[in-house]
Amino acid sequence: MNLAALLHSLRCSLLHIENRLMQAAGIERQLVPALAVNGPSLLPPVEEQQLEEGQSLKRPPGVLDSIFWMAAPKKRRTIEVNRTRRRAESKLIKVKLNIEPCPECGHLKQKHILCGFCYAKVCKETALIRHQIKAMEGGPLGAPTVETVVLYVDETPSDLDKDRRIVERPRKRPAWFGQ
Amino acid sequence: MAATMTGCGVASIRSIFGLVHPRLATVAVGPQQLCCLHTSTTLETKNWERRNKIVYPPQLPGEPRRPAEIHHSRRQIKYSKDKMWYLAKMIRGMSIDEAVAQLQFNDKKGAKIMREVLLEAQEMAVKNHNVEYKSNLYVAESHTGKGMYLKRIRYHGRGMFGIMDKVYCHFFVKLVEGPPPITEKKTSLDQANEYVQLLKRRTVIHSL
Repeated sequence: MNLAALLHSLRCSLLHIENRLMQAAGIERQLVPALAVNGPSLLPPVEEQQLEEGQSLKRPPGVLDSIFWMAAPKKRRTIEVNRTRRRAESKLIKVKLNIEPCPECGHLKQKHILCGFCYAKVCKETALIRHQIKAMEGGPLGAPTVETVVLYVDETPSDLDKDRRIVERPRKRPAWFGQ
Repeated sequence: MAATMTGCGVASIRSIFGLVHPRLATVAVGPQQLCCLHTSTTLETKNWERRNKIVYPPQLPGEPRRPAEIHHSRRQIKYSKDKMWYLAKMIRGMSIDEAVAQLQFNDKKGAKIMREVLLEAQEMAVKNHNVEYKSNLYVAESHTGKGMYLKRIRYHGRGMFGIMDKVYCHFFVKLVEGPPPITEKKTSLDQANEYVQLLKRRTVIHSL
C-alpha cells in the first residue's frame, strides 16, 4: 500500500472530523483552519503525492541522505565483548626467551644483539680517540692519506707503523682492544 | 609522618586492637585512624601505600612462616592505563629478576617506568621489610589504575571541537618473598575437553 496515499486519506479524515466538531460547536468556519502551526511538515504535502511514489519529500538527493553509504554500529559493544577482543592471546605481550647474561660484563643481553654495557664502554673510548684525532688534525678536511694506529702507554711503534699516523692515548691498553 | 604515641596505656589499647584486627594495629596518624567513618574522599586515599604499614603480632613457634609482602606504587604516570595493563599482565607471577629482565628488553614507554618501580620495591624490601635475599621475591599482584586526567580542546573542521583527555595512570605492584608459585598451564584444548567431560558426567534425574 502506498504510504503517501495512506497518510493523505488519514489527513482528510482528520479534517472531516474537525469540520464535524466545528458544526457541532456552532462555529461556522468553512475555509479557515482552526489552528495554524508554523513548523516542519509532519505529513507529506498534498500536491506532491502525484509526482513520486517512493520519495515523500522532494529535495535533491545528497550524499549524506543515503542510508546505505555510511556504516554505523547498530549496538553499543559491551565491556565483555571489548575485553575479549583487547585481551586476546594475539594482543598480549609475548615473553622473550632469548635473554642471557653477557659473558664479558655479566649484564643482560639479547642473543642476537650486542651487550649494551660493553658497547657503551667501547663508544666512550672511541669518543676520546676521536677527540684526540680532531685536536691533531686542527680543522676540517685535515685527514691524512695514510692509515691511523692507536698506541697506548708502554707501546712502541712497530715496523708496520712507520708509514702510519700514530694517535697516542695516555692510558694502558683496554682488555677488549686487540693488538 | 607517623605520630609516635608514648605511654603504656595507649600501647596496651593498640595491642588489643592489633589482636582484634591486624589492620587496626597500624601506626596511628591521629584520631582519624581509630574511627571507621569515611573521613577522606576516594581521590585522597592512598590505600595501597597504607598496606605496607600493617604490623602483624609476633608469630608463635608452631606457625608456618608468613612471607613478607611489599606493596609499592607510582602515581600519575604519563601513560595510558590500557597500554600499561599489557605490561602488568605480562609480569604477573614472575620472579622479580625475570620481570626486570623482560621489562628491560621491552620497547614500550611504560616498561622503563615499571622497571624503576620494581627496582625501588626490591630495595624497599631489603631495607625496610626484612627480606633476606633480594632475588627471593616474586610479583604476586600487578595492576594499573586510572589517574587524574587533564582536559584539552581538540579542534576539528567547521568550528567543531572535541575534548581531549591527557591520560595518566597509576601502577601498583605487590612483591611477596619466596619462589614464584608454579601454575599449571591449561591449554584451550584441555579446557574444551574438560567442558565436554563435565557435560558427559551429568545424570538425568526424574527420567524414564
